[in-house]
This record gives sequence, structure tokens and C-alpha cells, in this order.
Amino acid sequence: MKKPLLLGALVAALGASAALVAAGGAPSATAARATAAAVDCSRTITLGFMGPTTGPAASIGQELRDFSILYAENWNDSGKKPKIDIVQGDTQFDPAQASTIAQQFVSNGNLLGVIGPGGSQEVLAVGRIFQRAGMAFSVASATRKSLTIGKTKVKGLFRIAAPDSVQAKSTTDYMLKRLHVKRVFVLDDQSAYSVPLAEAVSKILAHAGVKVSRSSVAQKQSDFSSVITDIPDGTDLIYLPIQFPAKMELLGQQLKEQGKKITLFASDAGYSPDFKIVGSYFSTFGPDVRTYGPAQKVLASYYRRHGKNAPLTTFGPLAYISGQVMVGAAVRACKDGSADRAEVLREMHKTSLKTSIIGEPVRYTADGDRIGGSFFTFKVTAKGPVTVR
Amino acid sequence: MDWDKLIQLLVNGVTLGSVIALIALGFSMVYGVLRLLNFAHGDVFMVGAFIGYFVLTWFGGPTSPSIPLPAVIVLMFLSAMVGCGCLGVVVERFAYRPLRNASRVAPLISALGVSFLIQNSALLVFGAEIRSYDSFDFANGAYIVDGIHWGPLNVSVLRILAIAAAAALMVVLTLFVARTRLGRAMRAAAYDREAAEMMGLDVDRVIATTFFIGSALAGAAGVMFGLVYNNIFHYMGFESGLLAFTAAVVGGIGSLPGAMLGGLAIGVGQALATGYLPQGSTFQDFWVFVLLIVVLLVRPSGLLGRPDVRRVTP
Repeated sequence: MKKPLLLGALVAALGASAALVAAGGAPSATAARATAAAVDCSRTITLGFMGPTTGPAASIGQELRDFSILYAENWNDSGKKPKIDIVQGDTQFDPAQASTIAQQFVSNGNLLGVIGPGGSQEVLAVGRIFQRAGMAFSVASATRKSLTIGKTKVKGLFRIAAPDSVQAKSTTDYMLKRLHVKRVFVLDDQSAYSVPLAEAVSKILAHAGVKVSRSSVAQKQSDFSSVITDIPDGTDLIYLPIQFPAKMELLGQQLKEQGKKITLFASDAGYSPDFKIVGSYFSTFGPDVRTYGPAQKVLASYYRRHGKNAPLTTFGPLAYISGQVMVGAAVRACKDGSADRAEVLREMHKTSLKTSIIGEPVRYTADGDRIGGSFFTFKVTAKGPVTVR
Repeated sequence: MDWDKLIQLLVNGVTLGSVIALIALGFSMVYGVLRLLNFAHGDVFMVGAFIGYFVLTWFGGPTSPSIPLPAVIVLMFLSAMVGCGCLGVVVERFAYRPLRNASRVAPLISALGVSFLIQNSALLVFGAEIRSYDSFDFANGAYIVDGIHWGPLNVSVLRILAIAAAAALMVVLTLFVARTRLGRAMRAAAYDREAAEMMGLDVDRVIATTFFIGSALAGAAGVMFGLVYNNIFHYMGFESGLLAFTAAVVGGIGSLPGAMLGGLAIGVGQALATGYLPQGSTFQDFWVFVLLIVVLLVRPSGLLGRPDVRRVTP
């Protein structure tokens, strides 16, 4: 083979492998066997936490981790028994990495349940592994509708956030009734989270007579200028169900750079100090708990542990609840001094909190969706996000 | 034909292409002298972006710099170029020089190892979060609002700065290689390293210089990237490095004008694909690699590369 051709082949191979990684190609799962035996948990209950604590979603992932394990930390500090031990795994927001960690968790015979992971694509990667092992996993923020229905339904998943169907309806209601949109540009980031949400919103808007244009960029996209150039004239709103607030901010700034005045409407990740385009909106699964009385004790313990400047978005409080219900189920299962994963799973189904730090009760449907989950709409102002609905 | 759209896309593409071209130059220079694919080069670019970021932060950040903003930007470029140049020399000295006479696979693996080492060190030192230059806040946003505005065409000050800086660096490099003693030495080493050594050339020094200059250009590209695209993170080098490597191959690896042309071709190709091809933004990388394959099929040595002619009979 001639040298240039060899180089070309090398480049093509590297490109192909990068594309595969970007597409989230997980290694073929050599499923770890479920450890069905009961374990002694009279002194210590072992749970897992998995989330993207490094990588592109690290800022959200670290908040998810800190809040997910906060209930257990407070439990241990108060001297309650049994002690809760949390084993941590970093998914790096990568489905393949999430799958590897899930297999490690399943292989750990002492581990009775899992808090996390963070995003829908990670849940898709770990769902079957946990399902085969009979492991319950409590997720704060995965919203993909199909995780709890249809062929891709995952048994053992319990989520706090309401699914996309609720978000799509809430978002489009606001766009249609308050913002009176006529032409919307929808931009997804090609992820398992983003695409279904973009489709659901587009469908509802189109049905309501709104002109909808769709486009899509890779999550790793660093430049939106050409996408912006391609936005049709007359567009009055851009809907951005993408997962990285810094990218939304860049898009907003590049809009200004090209002299286009179009309102941005983001999804869950919008509640972030990295997204500060004044006049934008976002819809997210939790309320602003900063001034909500019953949440203050929990927030005080969070700031005490992580400093007064620790991040607080709408992810943290939901993560706290996901940890709270998992610890609660495990403690109930361990009442007689031993428990297995099946018992924890049953106890998760029985979860019933009259209220929580977001001011809402927590009970689950048979499919693992929280009953009564809702979405909240915020507007970005110069002083930060303000709830508008 | 919507000319406004076309021209705006070309501006977008030339901006991105300028960054890719600067990285590709380093790839091509090192390959020209050592026949080595320096996969750590993209990570040097990432380090340059972080050096620029820390210089910006050191001088008070984008909104309230303690010295005039143009001076901060110059210092960002200089620091990143010097820092990355030194990093390149260190990498060459400890990762590649000991393997110079080993099989060709050994330095390739070493390059991949250095790439991971730099990337993970950055994770450890800089953290995992995406950091932002917030250059859109420079002078209360004037750097993105001001610039050339001609009908619907908008070229911000930041883009003009990036394109001008890239062009200036390319011109300086071309003059350096063509007209200076060290540049001649680099060309001699690239043409025949052993013969150059026998003629009394200090090849180690020439190679170290090549690494310094190539890495300094990557450092400048890192700052440029941060200024125009804002977000920097520890693994940004892989993607950009891959595009730059592709640019070097498309242009004809080893050829400096080829690397520039390849970088611009990829930047403009991505922009035009986004604007005109069905689902262009979705399949940007696909179109880049289609371009690569087409170029290699038509011109196996790349756009400006020379065929590797070898004598096969005595």
C-alpha cells in the first residue's frame, strides 16, 4: 500500500472509531450474574452511585453526586443504624463507561441498589444490566419517555423527574399561549435524551399550525455559526433540548454575533450559571428551592459540606430525593438484619413520601414514574433565572 | 443563489479553517522532518487554550482586565505560544528522541501515550468542567457586535482577529522556513536527515526547533479557538487534532502550504455542508471524511503533496 493511502486508511479508521465512540457504542455486555443471595446489612448497607462526575457534563454530574449521597451522609452523621456505605462510579457521560460501571456494581455482591445514573442515554446503557440483576436504581433526571413504557421499558428504574411527554406539553403550552410563536427552529444534539424531546415538541407545534424547522448537531459541536446562518428568516424562537448549558450560551452569543434576535428556549440543563442569555427561557423538572422553607435544612447541610459557593440548580434537589428514597427502601428491606436486591426493589415500589424538598409527594407508578411529576418554566434575567410558570 | 448566506458561510468556514490550519501546520512540520505522526499535537493545542484562559483570568478576566484588553490578548497569545513550544520540546526530548531509531510503530504508540498523558494531566490540573473565555463580554460585547456589517453579512472583531492572526503566523512561518538559516536547516533535515547530519547539521537542534515552532502554532490556535468559540475543556484536543491531521493529509502531509490549504478546505467544507447539504450539520464529519477520500483517490499524495518517488533499480 502506498504511503498516502496508508495514511488515509489510518485517518478513516480513527474517524470511524471516533464516530463509534460518539454514537455511544458500548462493548458487548458480558452480563454479570445477578447476586440474588441475601447479604448481612445489620451494620452497613452498601449502595452505589453512578453519574458523570468528570467529562462534558461534570458540573451537573458533581452536583448530582453531592446531592445524591447527601441523604446518606446526613443519615450517617446523625448516628442512625445501619450505616450507609456508597460506592461511587464515574460514567463520564459516556454510555460505554456507564455500562462498564453497571457491570462492576452488579458483580459487587454487597451492593443492594443504585442511585443514578444521570442522563437518558446512560440509563439506556445500564438498564438491561440492572434489570437482569434485579437491581433497583433511582434516577433523578432521566426524562426519555420510553424508559418506562413500551419495548424499551426498564424494570427496576425509578425516576423523580417527569418524562418528556410532560415536558413537551408544558413547553409547547408556554410557547403557544404566552409567547405566541409562529415559526420555531428546533435544534437537537443527537443524544437519546435530546432527539425524542425535539420530536415531541416539533410534533405538537406543527399540529398547532406553527412552522417548524429541524436541525441537529453533535454533542461535541464547538461552533454553531453555520447552523445559525442556516436558520430561516422569520424564526421567532429556537428550541434547544441540548444537554450542555455552555453550548447553549455559545449559540446565544453567536446569534448576537450574526445580528439575529431570536428568543432561545432551552430544556432541563438551562438552569445553570453557564447559560445567561437574558430573555431566554427554559423548562426544567424541578422548582427553584432556594427560598422554599422546607428545603432550607437540607440546603444548609449541602453548603456546609461543599462550601457556600457550591452549585445549586434544579438537578440537585431531585438527586437528593433519589438518594433519599433509595436509602429509605434499603433500610426498610434491612429491618431484619439481611436483605437481597429483590427486597429493595419491592420496597422501592412501596415508597411513599408525603412531601419532599421540592414540596411534592413521592410515590411511583408500577412502571417507576413518579406520580404527579411536573415541569417548571423559567426566564433568564440579569439577576438569574426567575420562575414564570 | 443566496449570496449573503454563501458569504456568511464562507466567513464561518474560513474562521474554523484558520484554527485547523494552524494545528495542521505543526502536524505537517513534524512529519516532514521525522516522518512521525505526532498524535499528542492536538493536546498541545488544548494546553495552549488553557494557558490563554489562565492569562486572561490572571489579568482580571474579560469584563474588567487590569491592563488594556489588546495587551491582554497579545500576552495570551505569547504565553500560549511559548508555553506550548516548550511543552513540544519536552515531549520530543523525552517521548520521541529515545525512539528515533526504533521501528516506526514505537514512536506512534509513544505519541498516543503522550496524548493520553497530557489529556489526563489536564483533567487532574484544570478539572473536568467546561471553562469559558467569555470573550463575548470583551468591552461590553463590542468584540462581537462591532466588526464588518455589510447587509446581512456579519464578521465580528473576534473573527477578524482570528483570521488575521492565523494569516500573519502562516506568512511568518513561510518566510522563516524559506529565508532563514534555521529554516534551510529544517528543509535539509526534512529532505534527508542522515545526509544533513553528515554535512555537520545539528539535527537534534533542528528537530527540537521544529517541535517548538509547530507546538507554538498549536498554542496560538488554542487561544484563537477560545476567543472565537469560548468553550475549552480537557478533551478538546482529540477532535481538533483529528481534523487537523485530516487537513494535513488532504493538503499533502509534509507540505506547509498544503496544511494551510487542507485546514481551510475542511473548515469551509464543514460550513458549506451545514448550509447546503441535507442534514449537513448532522453529518459534518461524514462530509469531511468523504472529502478526504475523494482527494486521496484523485491525488493520493494530497492536494499539494509530492509523490514519494523511490529508486527501485540500481
